[in-house]
Amino acid sequence: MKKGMPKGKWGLILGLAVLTILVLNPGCRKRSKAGEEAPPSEARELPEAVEVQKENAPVLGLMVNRLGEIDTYQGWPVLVELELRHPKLFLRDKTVESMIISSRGESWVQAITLVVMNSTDQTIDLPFKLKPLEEAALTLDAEKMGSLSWWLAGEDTIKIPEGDYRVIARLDTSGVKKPGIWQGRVRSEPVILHLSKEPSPLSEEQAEEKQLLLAACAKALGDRAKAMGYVDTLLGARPESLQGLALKAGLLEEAGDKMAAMKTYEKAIAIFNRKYPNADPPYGLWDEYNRLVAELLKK
Amino acid sequence: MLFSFSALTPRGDTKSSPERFLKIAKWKLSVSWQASGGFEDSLKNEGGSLSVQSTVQVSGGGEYLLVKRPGDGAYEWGTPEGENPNVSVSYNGHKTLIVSHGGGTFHNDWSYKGQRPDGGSAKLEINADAGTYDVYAVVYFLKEVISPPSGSKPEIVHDSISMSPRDSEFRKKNLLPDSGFNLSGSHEFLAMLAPLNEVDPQVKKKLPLMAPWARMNVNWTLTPAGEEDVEAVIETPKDYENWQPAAEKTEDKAGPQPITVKVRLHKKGEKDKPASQKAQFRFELVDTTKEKGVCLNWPADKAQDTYDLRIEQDKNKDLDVKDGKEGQKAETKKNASGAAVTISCFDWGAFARLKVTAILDGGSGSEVLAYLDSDKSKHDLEIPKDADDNYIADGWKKGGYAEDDEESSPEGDGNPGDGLTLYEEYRGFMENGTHIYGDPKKKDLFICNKIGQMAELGISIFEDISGLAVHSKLKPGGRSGPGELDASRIINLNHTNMAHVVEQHGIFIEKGDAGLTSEAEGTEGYENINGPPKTCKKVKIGLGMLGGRYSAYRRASTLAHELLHGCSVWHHGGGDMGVRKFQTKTDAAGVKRIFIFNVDADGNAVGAGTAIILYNETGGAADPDDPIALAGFNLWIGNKQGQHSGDTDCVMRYDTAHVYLNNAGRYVGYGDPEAIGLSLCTNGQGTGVNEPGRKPEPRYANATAGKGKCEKQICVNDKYH
Repeated sequence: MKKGMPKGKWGLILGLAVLTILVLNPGCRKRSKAGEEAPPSEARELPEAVEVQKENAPVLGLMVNRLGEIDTYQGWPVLVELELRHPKLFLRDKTVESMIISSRGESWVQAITLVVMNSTDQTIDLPFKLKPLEEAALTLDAEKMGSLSWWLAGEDTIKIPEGDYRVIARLDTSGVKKPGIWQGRVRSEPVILHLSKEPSPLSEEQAEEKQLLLAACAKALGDRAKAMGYVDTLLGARPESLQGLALKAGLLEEAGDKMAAMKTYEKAIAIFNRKYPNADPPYGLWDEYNRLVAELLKK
Repeated sequence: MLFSFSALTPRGDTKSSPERFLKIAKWKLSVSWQASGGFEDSLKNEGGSLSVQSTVQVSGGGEYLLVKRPGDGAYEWGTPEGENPNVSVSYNGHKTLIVSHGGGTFHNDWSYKGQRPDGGSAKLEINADAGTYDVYAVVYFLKEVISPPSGSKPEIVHDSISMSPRDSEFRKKNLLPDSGFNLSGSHEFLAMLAPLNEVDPQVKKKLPLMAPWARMNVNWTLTPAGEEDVEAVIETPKDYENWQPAAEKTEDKAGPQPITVKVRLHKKGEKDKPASQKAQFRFELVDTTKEKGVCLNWPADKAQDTYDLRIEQDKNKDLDVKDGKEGQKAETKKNASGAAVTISCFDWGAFARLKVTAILDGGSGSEVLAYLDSDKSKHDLEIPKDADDNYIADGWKKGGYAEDDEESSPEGDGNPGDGLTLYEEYRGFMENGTHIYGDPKKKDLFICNKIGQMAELGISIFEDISGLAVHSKLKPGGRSGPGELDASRIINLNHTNMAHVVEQHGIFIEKGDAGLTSEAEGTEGYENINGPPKTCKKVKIGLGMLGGRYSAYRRASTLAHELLHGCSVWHHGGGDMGVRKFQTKTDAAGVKRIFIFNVDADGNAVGAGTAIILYNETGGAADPDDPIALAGFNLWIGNKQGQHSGDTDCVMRYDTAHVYLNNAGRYVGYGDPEAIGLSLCTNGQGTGVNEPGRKPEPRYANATAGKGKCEKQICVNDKYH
């Protein structure tokens, strides 16, 4: 098996797309596993060599746990999300030329590479797991965008040496010979992970964050029961965890219990309103809640 | 003639030893004088009574070469025998004499012209110990009467005009200057002019010797002699028109674009003829700015107010920098006919004037102040070029912008500017490690985004709809060091002495509480008031449920909404009824109906509630037997002119409600989600579901009076509100 390829059940889940997004193009450059000694720096082309942004190129927005820089711990899952946007997405100027993203493979996703570097600029393999997408092409314009998300499971991060890591997403369609396809190379700004040994004991906030990550990762990877277990553990300790309630609502809806999901969102909104009376409405919660109410009333 | 003087030469800060004057081998004495006077007298003699009136006017000048005399060290010109003829003197005189005696009157005019000196002496004595000098001169002329009285013949007369002050004490008051070699001054005194010996012969025998008094004004200059008469010129540096200051990120490292200035000597009045004369060149930077840091926001802590333009020793091998790291003065190590100085820049708003002095060799040490080759009347080179004296390089955005804070784009609430003067926009800011200028045409807003890409899309929407020049890449502080917007949020933190109107603030974007709250958190006193950035402690943004849905469109709209709160923009209205619970309950008649309840802090129904019909806007009404009605559900109820009113495409409008109270007082619900605004309204008129004339009726109608018109509320200038 190649370095970085998913093992066990992940291989069954992810399929072909995973092959293409697991860290760098095989054979393009030497790589090292996390913690291994890297070749001399002059022998490597740093991924930053690719321009962040060009005129008339897609924008690659990368996030880690929804942020640009995080402190996290071994054994905690990590969520990496990528948005691909037309530079004029949602702007008033709607007269934009669409950008169609494709790859030499079957899905446009294969044109995306996630690159991880440690603090000494060594490129390393990490077993990111991608939610699979099979669309051949992605169209970016003033209204449409694309997104991808990868998870690094807790059982994987526990094996990663402590340290600082940079993650960059690259889009390379320069070799794609299909009509109408945007061609070029572009990369995201890096996101930063400061990974260290999990503290003991965890503070209440840390414990909540860990349970949320474990639950969200399990949910994303299809293990709803496991996810619900983490959420229930969390809500047992912190019954007013808004993220926990929202996650539980999502799991309930996935399980088909829309009424329970609606009620859970309702509780979360009430708690929110009590805790944050000066804030604008929690649109994310309201959007889900209103949608469910409308669906249930239609019945 | 003889003169002496008592002028005091101002002393500078930098003193040189008076001994230097004694090293001069020769001095050139230049003198000019004017005298006017006369007398009136009456007397009796054998001829009877005489009445005499005389007026005299004399002017002239000359140059003497004074040579050091062996022995006592004084400097002298000539001797009574005329051994040293190295002098030229001009003399123009006019005398009028009116003599009345007996029954007659003589009225004669004479005009004179000095021809050549016929002897005399001049002397300079320097007392270095006392710091004084004493100079005088006496000269004899052969005068030509060029306009004799009628009947007289032109003739050349040997004359012995003597001019001398009556009080010689002032000689001791001539002080040697602390710097330079120029001994000059002026003095006015009463002098006795030559006797009136050119009187008509018929009268002369009847007159006593008469000498008129005159008020003598003498001006003199003593300069070292024996050196070539040269001028020093500062050459306009290459690309001077466009040169602008540029700094590095650290204050102790010079910027990438030093400016080199050359100076050269040429023969006086002959710009293209190089001088053979050599000199030591002294470069001085004056009026140098000392702004803190390298630009307005960097570094944010421990910014130094050192000189912004400096002469660095390592970049000027041929110079000797005299004041170390201050770098404001340097001199050439060797004498030459030209020299160059390289000036390093340490601030994006740096300014100074360069003065260059050539100290001529040959022992005199006389100094020539260089002038600009572009303008002989100017002796300092502005760095950078700044014709309009605003400390802004002429090469920067050649637009003729107003120097005050007067941008009008976007117009917003009508308050001009963005809290930054033109100089501040020019001096600029550090953004993501790179220097940027402000936009002199548009109002600028500075954002420090602490959450990364989650905010980027919303920022781009905000910039698009607001029309502001948004600078959103300010690095936050962290483990890598201080940020580009510190805790004070003052973006022009490093202003010092230059044009400034207000401490202008930037805005932080941070993760919302629990990852879900979105609000513009007001500073103390502004908790519920929307104002310019000074009033907004931070914008908090919900990140959405981890791993869950959070549409980019919604996220962008929310972020733009909160940022606009930080720029003085309000909601379209207030007073929505807010959250209410709808739930089936059996009424007093035993009929199941939907009731509406207030809710407690946990969202639970409180009180007995009120029976209502919850109409569906598209027809029909909610069924009390519907499981969801039996379970109860909470919905936000919006009011007319409330938060949901006005233009539905505007980001400042809420879209959370799903029930409104119609004109008939009925509760009307709808299931379809409303539009999420992504623009900025220009008036309070309702659009979409709020449009006047909509059927069955506008849901929330126009914005509250005075609200809406969000585009006309924008204000980013911390001087206002």
